[in-house]
Amino acid sequence: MKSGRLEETLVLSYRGSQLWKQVLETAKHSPAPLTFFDGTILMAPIVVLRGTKICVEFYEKLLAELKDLIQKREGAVPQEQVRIYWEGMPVWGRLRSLAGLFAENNASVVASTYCNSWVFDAFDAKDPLRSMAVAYTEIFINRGENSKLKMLDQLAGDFKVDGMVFHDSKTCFNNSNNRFGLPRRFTEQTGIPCITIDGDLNDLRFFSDGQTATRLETFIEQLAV
Amino acid sequence: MNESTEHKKNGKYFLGIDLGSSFTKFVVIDESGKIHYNQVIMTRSRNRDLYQQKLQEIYDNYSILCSCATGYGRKQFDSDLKKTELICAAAGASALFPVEKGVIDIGGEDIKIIECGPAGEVRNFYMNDKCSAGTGAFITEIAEKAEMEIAEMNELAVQSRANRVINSFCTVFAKTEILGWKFDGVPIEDIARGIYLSIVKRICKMPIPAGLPLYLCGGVIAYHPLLKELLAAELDTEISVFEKPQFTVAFGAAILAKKQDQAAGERRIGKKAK
Repeated sequence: MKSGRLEETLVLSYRGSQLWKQVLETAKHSPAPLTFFDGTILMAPIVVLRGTKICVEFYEKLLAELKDLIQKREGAVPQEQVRIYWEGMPVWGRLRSLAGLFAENNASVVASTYCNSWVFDAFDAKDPLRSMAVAYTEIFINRGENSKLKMLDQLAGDFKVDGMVFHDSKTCFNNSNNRFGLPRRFTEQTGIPCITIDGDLNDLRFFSDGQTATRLETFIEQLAV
Repeated sequence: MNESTEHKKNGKYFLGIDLGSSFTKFVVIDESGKIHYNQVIMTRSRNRDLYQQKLQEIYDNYSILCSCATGYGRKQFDSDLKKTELICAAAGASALFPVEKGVIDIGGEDIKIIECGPAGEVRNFYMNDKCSAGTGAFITEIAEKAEMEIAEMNELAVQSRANRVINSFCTVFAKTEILGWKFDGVPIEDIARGIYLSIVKRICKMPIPAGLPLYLCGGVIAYHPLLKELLAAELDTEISVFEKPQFTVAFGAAILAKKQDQAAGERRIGKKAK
């Protein structure tokens, strides 16, 4: 590799990642200008173009647009009444219908572990290898149960969420954090209610539209009371 | 229905429709919550004639001020309100018994356990997932394999004292077990009871609220009343069954329609006062 290329790339990675973080943080406003479902599409550059100028430019433009929406008080869910955190993988084959379901029920999914997993605060061009090792190790899914609980508590508080949805993804154990009682411990610690839905990120045979809609709509109604 | 059509048309009525996976239930109530009409038809997704006919009959005879649809097919109906069956079960149950309670709703394709407050607030709920073992669909499948009429199953089971239970939750494997019982010459009464005991076993795997009065509703309990006794014995507690258990959810939907109309009325009065 050309001398300095790694450092240069890491500078761009850090910049892109910080912009992505700011993009996600716009959802701290109410009504949130973007939801988790928007995030799952808009995250493409930070996932596959990290370390490039195009990634940085994309998020600079996006951030400016989102700030404009905040100014105009235009929410992704216009009548936002309930704010929700999504824990676990997206149900990729049902992004559209789930986005519609939450919006119809005036609920905005304002934060998620998944989208936040591409925020790498530790990148440092002065110490590239060590900082990358730290950055990629300290992400949520690599952590122990107590650290996960702390991280969720922090994000739920920062984004002022009313409830948490845990997605139990059948074929992705590492991203199904409901399995060792994390939702129960989270509710005990924070008082924020949780619900677990069953599904998968790619095999929709593990996902039931009817059952999921009934669970989520009932949960949202519980939170709205 | 003794009231004159004229009276009905001038009254204030509220419609609840529960479009379940197996049956569609219609309930009309008045302002006091009294049921004036309740009907059940099979849920048909293609042939909607009977469904339209029922609605026509209702709207011809009652001045419906507000309607609420619930159940799996709630989005198919053009109602003023759409609420999940969990919310409606809690509303219906609480209109009848305004206390803290647990409601167990056994339907065509799911079992729901709802912990609710006196005013119908849902505090916690649990549903079966990925599998419809222990529901109406399970009974239909198993009864066919056992070569018994569903309508006779309760009467047969009452005559048995056996404690033979189907081991598998999976409907396909459960049918294989039934086949084995038939080969072994197990009496049909014991098979009927065994099917009920396996449903009880399935329900007891779910988190049932402790220390609260329990109520059963749904279509399954309406046609298989022995389940109540078996479940009560297994849980070692008393369990009540709502009157017209198949209509509890549709009744709850009608109650929510009534509440919605009253809230809209209060808003109208509030605006006028300003």
